[in-house]
Amino acid sequence: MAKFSRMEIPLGQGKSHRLIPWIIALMVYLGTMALTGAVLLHRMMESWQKDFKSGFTVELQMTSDHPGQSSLEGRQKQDKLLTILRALPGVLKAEALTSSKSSPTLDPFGNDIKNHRILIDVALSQDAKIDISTLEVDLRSLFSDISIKNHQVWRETILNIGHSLVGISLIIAGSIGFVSVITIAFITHSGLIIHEKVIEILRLIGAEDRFIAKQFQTYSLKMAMKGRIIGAFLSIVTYFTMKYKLQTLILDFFHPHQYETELWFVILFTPLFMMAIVMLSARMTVIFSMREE
Amino acid sequence: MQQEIVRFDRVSLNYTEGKNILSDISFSLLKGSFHYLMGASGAGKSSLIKLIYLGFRGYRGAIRVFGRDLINVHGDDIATYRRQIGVVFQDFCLLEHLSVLDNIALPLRLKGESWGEARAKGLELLNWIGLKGLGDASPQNLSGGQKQRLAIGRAVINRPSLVIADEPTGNVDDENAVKLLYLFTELNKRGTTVIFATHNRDLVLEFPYPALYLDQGQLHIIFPYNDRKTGSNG
Repeated sequence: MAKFSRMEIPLGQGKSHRLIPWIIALMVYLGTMALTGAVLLHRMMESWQKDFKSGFTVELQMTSDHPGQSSLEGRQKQDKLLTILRALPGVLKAEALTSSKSSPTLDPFGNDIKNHRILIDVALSQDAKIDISTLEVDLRSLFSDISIKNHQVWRETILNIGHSLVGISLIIAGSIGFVSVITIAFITHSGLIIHEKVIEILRLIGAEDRFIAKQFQTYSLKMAMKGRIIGAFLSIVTYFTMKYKLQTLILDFFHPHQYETELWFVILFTPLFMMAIVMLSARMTVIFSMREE
Repeated sequence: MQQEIVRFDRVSLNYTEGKNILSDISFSLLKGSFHYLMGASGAGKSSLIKLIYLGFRGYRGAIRVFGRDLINVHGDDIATYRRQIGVVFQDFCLLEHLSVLDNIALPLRLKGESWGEARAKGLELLNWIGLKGLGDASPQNLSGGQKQRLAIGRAVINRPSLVIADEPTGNVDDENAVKLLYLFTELNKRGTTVIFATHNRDLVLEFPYPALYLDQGQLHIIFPYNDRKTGSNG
């Protein structure tokens, strides 16, 4: 007995149609990766922002030529400076930095901590309103060789870069979605041309546009299912690889376990979303093409 | 009073400027009637049929089918309208990727029935059209006459109230042509209105039905069977 198609329109008979699940898989994979990257980066930035409370660092140079005198004088200056700083409104904490105490987030400073200077890290509350320039001028009247390094400046820069990267990731994810729509529309349109004769016969015997559209929609769904499985599998493999690699960097602000649920949601939900996009694109392409005739 | 199924009021049609395929023709067909549609090749038989099933819309005048002006049939209404008419196309218009049975069942699928239901009804019809045992065959492997029977089966499975056949005997010998014509008369006896287009002058003498005769864009109603008896020719 001959084997016949059960689809009224023989979609998927051309060799090129074999590529469709792979194209969808690639779209699913790239989309998932872009969104996972955006979530990961956003959470990392959030975590870093939360952990990083340092507002500014006060550096006081010790100019004395006598080591003993320097040590005593330094301690006195340090205590005086700490008292002044702790009294400022909005200051949560002010403490002298030593090599062992240096925070990894202040690594560039920590490496330079030597006995000939005093470094004081000042943590500020969120609503602290301290004018660093004015404070520096005020402190200079008491300590001649003092300087303040405002962490807010480079912190803001890093945050801006981070947020830009999140935005870029989202734009990439959106573009992948858009390209998917265009690709499916193109494939569907090709299908309409290839099967023009069959579609014409179906319409002549009473097929509604939505019946034709459903044929393409069902076929696209089947292709998207295959693509989704491949794409999701590749995404999961990539996620585990990335997770392992990032953990080996031992970053203080990288806590993947805290947002694992979100990441899994993105990894599993994005392919489903892409399936819906593919299905809808195919349907709408057919409906619009039929209406144009 | 019998209900009018098809009504043409001063309908004209021309594909190119100048020559009219149909010129100002008017006629009406009553429910349950049987009419041959005759005329030489190129006389406009297929064009007239196309106008009825909305295969072409560029006409002047008014066409009413099932009491509805076709000018008002748009969008999905066209599909619903076409499902009320069974059309046997001149070139069969079969789907070769589907089996014989699935081709017959197709109109039921378009109405929303499942493949199972549609195939069950199709099986019943296979016997009537003389294709019993060929349900799983490919339309490609059928003879011209069998393809025509298949096209007839597909046209009538929906039990349409109007069946239009465009030269359904064009590809078969005289014996098979009579057998096919007999199928249409059977349908007509069950109350279906039939328009049977043919250019075979001998065939129309088999059953005593009137004919719509197209000649140079004009339509005349003739009675070939009676004319044979009186010796005249339409």
